[in-house]
Amino acid sequence: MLLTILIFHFLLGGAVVAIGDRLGRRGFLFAALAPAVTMAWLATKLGSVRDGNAIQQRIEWIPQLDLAIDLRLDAMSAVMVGLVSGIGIFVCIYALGYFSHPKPGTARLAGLLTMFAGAMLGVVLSDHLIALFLFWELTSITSYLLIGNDDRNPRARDAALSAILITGSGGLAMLAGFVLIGQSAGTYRLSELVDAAPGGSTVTVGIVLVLIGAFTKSAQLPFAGWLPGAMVAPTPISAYLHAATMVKAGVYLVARLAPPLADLGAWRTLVILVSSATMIVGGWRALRQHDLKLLLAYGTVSQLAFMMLLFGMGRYDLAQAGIVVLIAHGAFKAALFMVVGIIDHQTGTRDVRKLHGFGSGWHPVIITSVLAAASMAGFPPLLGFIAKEKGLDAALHADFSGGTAIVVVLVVGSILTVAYSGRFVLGVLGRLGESDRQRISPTAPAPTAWFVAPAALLALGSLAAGLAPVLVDETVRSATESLYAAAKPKPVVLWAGFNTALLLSAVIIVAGLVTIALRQRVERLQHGFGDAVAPWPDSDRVFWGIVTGTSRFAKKSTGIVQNGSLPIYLMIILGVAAALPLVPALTSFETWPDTIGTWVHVPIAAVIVVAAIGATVVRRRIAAALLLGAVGFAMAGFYVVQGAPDLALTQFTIETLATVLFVLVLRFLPRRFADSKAAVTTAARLAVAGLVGVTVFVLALVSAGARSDVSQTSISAEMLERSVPDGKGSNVVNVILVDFRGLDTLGEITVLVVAALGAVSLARAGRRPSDRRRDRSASGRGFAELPLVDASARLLYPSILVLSVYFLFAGHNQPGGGFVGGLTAGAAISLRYIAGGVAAVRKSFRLAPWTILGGGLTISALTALVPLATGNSLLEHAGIAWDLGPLGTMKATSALPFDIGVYLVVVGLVLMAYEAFGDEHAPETSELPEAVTS
Amino acid sequence: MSAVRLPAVLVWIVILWVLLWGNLSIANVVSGLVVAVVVLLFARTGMERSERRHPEHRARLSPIAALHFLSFFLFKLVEANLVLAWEIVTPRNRINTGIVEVPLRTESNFATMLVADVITLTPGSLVIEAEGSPPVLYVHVLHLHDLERVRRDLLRIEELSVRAFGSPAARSQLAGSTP
Repeated sequence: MLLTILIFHFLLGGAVVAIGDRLGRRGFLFAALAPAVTMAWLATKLGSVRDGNAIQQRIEWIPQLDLAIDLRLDAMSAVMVGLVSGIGIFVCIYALGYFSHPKPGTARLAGLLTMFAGAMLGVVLSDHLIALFLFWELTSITSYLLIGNDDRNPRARDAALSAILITGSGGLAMLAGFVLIGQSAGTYRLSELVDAAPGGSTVTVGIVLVLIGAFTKSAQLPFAGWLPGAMVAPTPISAYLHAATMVKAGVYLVARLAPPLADLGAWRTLVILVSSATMIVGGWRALRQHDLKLLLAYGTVSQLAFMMLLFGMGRYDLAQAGIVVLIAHGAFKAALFMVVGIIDHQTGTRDVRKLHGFGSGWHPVIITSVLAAASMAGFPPLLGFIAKEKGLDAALHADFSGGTAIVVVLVVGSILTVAYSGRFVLGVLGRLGESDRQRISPTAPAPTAWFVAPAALLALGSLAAGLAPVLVDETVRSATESLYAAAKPKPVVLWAGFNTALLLSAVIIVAGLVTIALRQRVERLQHGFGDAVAPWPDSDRVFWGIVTGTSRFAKKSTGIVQNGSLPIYLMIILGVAAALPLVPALTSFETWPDTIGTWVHVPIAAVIVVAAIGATVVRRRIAAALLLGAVGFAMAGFYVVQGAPDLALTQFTIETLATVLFVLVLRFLPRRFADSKAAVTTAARLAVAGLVGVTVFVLALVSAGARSDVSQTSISAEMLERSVPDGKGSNVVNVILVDFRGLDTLGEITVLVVAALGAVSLARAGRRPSDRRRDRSASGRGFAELPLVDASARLLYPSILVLSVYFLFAGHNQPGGGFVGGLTAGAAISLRYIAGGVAAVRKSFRLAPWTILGGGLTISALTALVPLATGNSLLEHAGIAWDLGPLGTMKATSALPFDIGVYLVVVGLVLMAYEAFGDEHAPETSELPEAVTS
Repeated sequence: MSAVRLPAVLVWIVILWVLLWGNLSIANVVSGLVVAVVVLLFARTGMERSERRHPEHRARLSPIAALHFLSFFLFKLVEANLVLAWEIVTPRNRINTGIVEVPLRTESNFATMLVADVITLTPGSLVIEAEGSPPVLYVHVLHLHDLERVRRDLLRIEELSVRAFGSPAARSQLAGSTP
């Protein structure tokens, strides 16, 4: 059921995104369905979960690696699920009012919001660290899309990028930490980690990495910069992601891991240092803001640090307070964001200096904001008060070093919280409005009841839970017990009697009120302080410095590594490829093969040697290409002598096509090889060429004598033996290609397709747009317009194609096959090209080259996959015989469609080659990189 | 452009298919038809256009003239081979190479191609260039002694090929300008 709920979220979200703008703001109605269903389901299970009966579900993922999606709903998860889905419903209703005039992309927000909710539920339900990481990064990605939804706004794009880079890289650090901790604990399951109690220096490193992940997600210093930036997102999104749910993922993780890890090495120190600083700096900055939303954002940073401190100490009483804060914060922060959204929506501004109070009909908004802000400030009798009081009380009884420091930080941070809460209320009331600004707000229309209701309900909830803490007591108790099995939590009450915590609360409230009263002096102090720290780099500047620095470094290093010189690339690739296998090849070399097998070999070898040497010494490119062709044809001669007509046929067709293509490309290059000026280059080239030659020679020798453990004849004998019964074909070469080694072939044609696409895009990229126009107008003229060749080509063309089809079909039992067939068809295409240029080639097939190419690959891949669907292994072929009555029986194997795919890929490849290099107009010589011509 | 019509191509493909498989059976003929249709559907031969032309300009096969052309070609082939063999085995050297310009009368590419193929296939002569419309062939000849005789011989080939495979219009045009 747990997984079903997650999948439901993703499916619903995907559907809403897919339907898109036709839904408009109604998208949020559909989006509300997912959290509503989740809440309804949770309500039926809550009782048993509270009693300690966690709901578990395990879906195997990669059993070999012990990877599984373990989902587990215990009381702590239930609190988070309630937060995510409960506030989700409120946000969706609120969004209906907020997006009263939906723009394009509004419905997409609704869909992404649902997917985000699914990912967030995944985080809080995952019992397996790796699965948790997966959902964690999913929340980062959906958050990125939500912040950057208004993709025309550069600020939104920057903010989205900054958010995903910071939280994403934090997530990666966390993954590394998970692996370290998981490996040393022997389990990746959260529920088992508590008893596993890992230790050691590995775990310390792991802890630091995991905390980095949690700190980035929950916007702790120095990673806090992304959260205020994310406020460019629409307010419902900010309220949901950046106040109530996603930023709490880090807190949640700390809450989960603190019980087993808090007493180990770096954990507590790190949390105290980072979160203390964050709580105070966040509060201080919030006090400085004019933008109400930014004020709340910095306030959130501060409150998140508060929760980190409570959860991160590994003590159940602090954690219990943390759970209360979690709930209280979710309610009041969402309500406050909604109020800001309402003000923004009705007046068009969120700047306190432009607000001068509101007219009649605004009372519900004002009451809501006062209630919610009072809860944030920790005024009795609201839930925020209880939470803070409990936190103070637990910190006062802390039994670890640093406990006093936490009390001080909590007091100072809370004074700042009271102060910025006051600033918020004063801003909403219009007390901070500057007189020289236009008075917009007093005449602003009051929001509709539906628009205010979600915020008002949340604020009233804070009040109700504060007056009657019994509402949350049971949940908080069971959640605390699910984190700390040995916990003896005291009940959550409004009145805990006269104690130190109460005294501190009073001090906080009074000091906070004094800060509000003296706000002008505080402001001057802040200005002075701001000026003093201005020259220091802040996290935002550091972040963008790193980003631009990285891309500049990438650009520079790319310039060095990829300098555009083809000879250098080739030398490096060939040099490495030749040097690496040389040593192992030499060591495995055992015996020299027979010098001469048959005397027929001698003349053929002579041709090869002469042509190969000739290719290295001739100065004319075309001559070199032709000599290489001669080498290839002579190799085909060897195949014939050895009794491999299939290989010979393939080699012949390949050599023919390769020679034609060579000539095509060579038209664009100077006739002769340029003389290299530098002796160093020549020496280097000679060395690489020699190395390649030696390696190939040695490899040939070794492979001829290789597999001494298995007798060579037995391999080929086995293939011959199994060809007909297993491969249903008597052409062993073809059976090997499409059946025994079919996966290799599939990989090869995939590479071919990629290479063809790359070649065409490279060739096209070098062309100017004006060239392209010229091509179209001049495409009627051929490469060499020979009427005689044209007429012959037209006559021969269908005949050669028929031959190629014959090769394709006959290939399984006789010489031929898809590869040879495709190459033969390629020869026919070449004939058309010679007669009529690229225009004739384009005309010669009804389908576009890329369609043929992609179609072929698709057919082959599908043929390979079909056996999987029926429960057989990949590429398993079946023989079929149809009785066609008077026509006899037609025998076919499923290897045939695979071969057809190969055929089409080869044909497409040839067409692509002409498309890339066959144009009449040579690229401007100046556009050719120097390296190619030298 | 071309002088060959679609049904002819279809029949030719089926014949080729049966020949490739090596036995004449109903299955092979039927599959040959399928292959022919598929090839002609997906691969454009450029011959479809001739269908749209006026009947006067459509190529027509005349069987007797075709036989005449074929026998003439075979005769020329044997003759040229003998002449060349004689040239090689006898010590006397009669070789006098040169390039002859032969203006053809027909505009049909197909006929031009046949003429050029015959010339090139017979030893001792070779088409090195063809240009213009009606085309002018430039033929490299091994034994160039009587320029007019060479031209006459080549034009005779043209005449025979047009009679055998040309359109009615091409035939009447040829008849009008017989030298």
